Amino acid sequence: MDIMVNGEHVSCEEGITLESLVAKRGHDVRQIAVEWNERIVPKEEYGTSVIHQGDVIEIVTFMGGG
Amino acid sequence: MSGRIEKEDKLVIGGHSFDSRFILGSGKYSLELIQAAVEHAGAQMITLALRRANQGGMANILDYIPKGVTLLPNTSGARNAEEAVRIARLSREVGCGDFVKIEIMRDSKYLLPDNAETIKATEILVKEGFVVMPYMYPDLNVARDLQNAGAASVMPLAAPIGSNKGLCTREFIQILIDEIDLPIIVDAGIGAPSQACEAMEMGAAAVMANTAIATAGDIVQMAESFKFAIQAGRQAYLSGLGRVMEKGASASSPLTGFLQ
Amino acid sequence: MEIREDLPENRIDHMAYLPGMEALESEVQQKVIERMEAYDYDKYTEKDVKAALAHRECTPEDFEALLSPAALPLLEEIAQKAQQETRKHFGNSIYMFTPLYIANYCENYCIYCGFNCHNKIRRAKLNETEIEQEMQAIAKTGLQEVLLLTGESRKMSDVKYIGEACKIAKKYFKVIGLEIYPVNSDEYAYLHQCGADYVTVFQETYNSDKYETLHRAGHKRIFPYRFHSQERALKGGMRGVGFAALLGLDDFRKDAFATGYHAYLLQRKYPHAEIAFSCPRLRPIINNDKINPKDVHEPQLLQVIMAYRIFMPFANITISTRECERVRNNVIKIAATKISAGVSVGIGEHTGDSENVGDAQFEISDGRNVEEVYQAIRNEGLQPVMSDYIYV
Repeated sequence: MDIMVNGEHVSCEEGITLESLVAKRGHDVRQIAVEWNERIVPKEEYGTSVIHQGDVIEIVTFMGGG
Repeated sequence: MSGRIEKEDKLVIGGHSFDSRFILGSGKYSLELIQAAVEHAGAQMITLALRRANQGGMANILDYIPKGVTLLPNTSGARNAEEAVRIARLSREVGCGDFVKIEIMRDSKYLLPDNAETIKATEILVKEGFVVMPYMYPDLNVARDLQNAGAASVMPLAAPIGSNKGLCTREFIQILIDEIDLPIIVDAGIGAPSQACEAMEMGAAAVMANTAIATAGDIVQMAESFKFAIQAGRQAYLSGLGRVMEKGASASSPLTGFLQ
Repeated sequence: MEIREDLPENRIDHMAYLPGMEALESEVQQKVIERMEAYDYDKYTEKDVKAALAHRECTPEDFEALLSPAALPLLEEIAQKAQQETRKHFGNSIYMFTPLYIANYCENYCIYCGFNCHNKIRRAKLNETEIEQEMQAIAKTGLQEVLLLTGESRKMSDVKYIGEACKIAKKYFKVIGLEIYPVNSDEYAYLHQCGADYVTVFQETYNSDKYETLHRAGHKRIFPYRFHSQERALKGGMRGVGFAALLGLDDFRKDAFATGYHAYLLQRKYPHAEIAFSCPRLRPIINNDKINPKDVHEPQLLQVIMAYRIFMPFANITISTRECERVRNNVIKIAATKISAGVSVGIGEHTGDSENVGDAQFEISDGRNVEEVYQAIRNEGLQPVMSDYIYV
């Protein structure tokens, strides 16, 4: 299935959870926040959040800034 | 007037207290230098920006910031209150505390903050329990609105961000210091330790600097120079500056001769 | 005659609101009282006073220094600074006005006041026709600002009555101030609608223990209700508020500090508010010639006025008719910006032909008419201003 992650089309297997997606992309959960279809997802919900075709996901973290 | 210098001179923001009055920006320099810069700056608070995470476990700035330093995520990139609120909520979700520096710009040339949108975002985020530190153009009425909205400090700009031009808005920042019962933190445009020192002598509660350090020849030494300058300015402010003699201020004719 | 409330056990609790009194949620009273109680004026030295004069902004601590005994030997230096501040903010303008007493009925028993309800004086209240006649007589002198006063009797001079007086005043004057018993904010809003823009309430003394012994009966006895009057007036939409302690009732330095600090805190809380000070000293009243200004002599009075000026350089300061011509002429050169003229503190005396004449609240010392005061201001090189007010 096809989803959007950080503005890019990404294909991934059916039934994948947010937790797996984040792990697959190599993120440390303690350093990111996730917005799923414009809703911020609490970290404890990553494991039960099943992603569907066409979902829009933003994964953000900190970088240097003033 | 003795007793003005308190033994414990703490900077208190939103109920949290700090010994350091230097807020360090983390932009524009390599991650490896951050730890040394924070340590030499004596900073206890550092700003960060929120961005999309790159794939593939690249180095993260959070790994380079010494433990115990308070993180102050900004909302840079926001062009209005709504976007700033969204960024603030996401930042908090990362899990590094409730502080947020509101930064809303809709001008890409000078990057001047939008005061009206900043007030709106402050109102919303305070209600959601954030410790809100709005970056703003120094305007007394706006500062009062921010205070009434529950901001934890007010962060007026000294000059356009990244310009290193120093205290261009000096007179207006002084008004905020005189009239607002919140820590006034001079942010943006401070280009040299002497300017940071002057802001502190005026009674600013703290100084935030980034570009001046990031673009210095020796980042670590410059971070330390700022630390000393800010301490000197603070101490001078607490000591009470000496009098400035006005030219020709001698009495013309006695005014009190009528008293009986 | 025996007065019930002369015995302390017969007096009501002066810190508890009476039914109908609006209780504001406000931190200002506590802040003022705490700081006043902590004010130790003997700790200040000449060095502190000089530092206060040198500072760019006068802080509350500087204000404390300026009110301290250490400042007395430096009055001339302080006067130079006060004059600079006055001219910086007001140029050479001196505002003129006159008070108009429309009633002297009073339900309060305040032992130092000539209007107090146990004092046997002639009581009177002007009806609308008489108010109009008095105002016509005042307006003829060229004045454009009037201060309406009543004794403190809600029964005899209710809010409606005062509102009607404001409406009449509006026909003849550009600026209308009120010095009446404290009312609730909705009542201030009503009076504002009727044409009044300024409210002055004298707290008399900020020491509530002393206050209790002086104001033995009546609504005025309720200290916090009086304290919060200015804030209620501002909530009611008034443009400006006036403050005063009656110097000499209690420790005048502490009372003057509290007066200034009260105004300072309200100005910070309501930045649009125009601030004014009055600087009355105790004066003798009818049937009690034992009352005299005690420790507040001319130098101390001037010290207080100048400290108000330097602490809040943008505030209007009125120099009372209780002071003599010599003092008033000199104080407008230094710090005061507002002066009354053609003053009568009795009832119905401006026209002089009314049967309905009531006795005065206190003795005045400067009986000059409007023309005389106008000329005196001119003679000092200052500009008399009747009003510079634009209604929006």
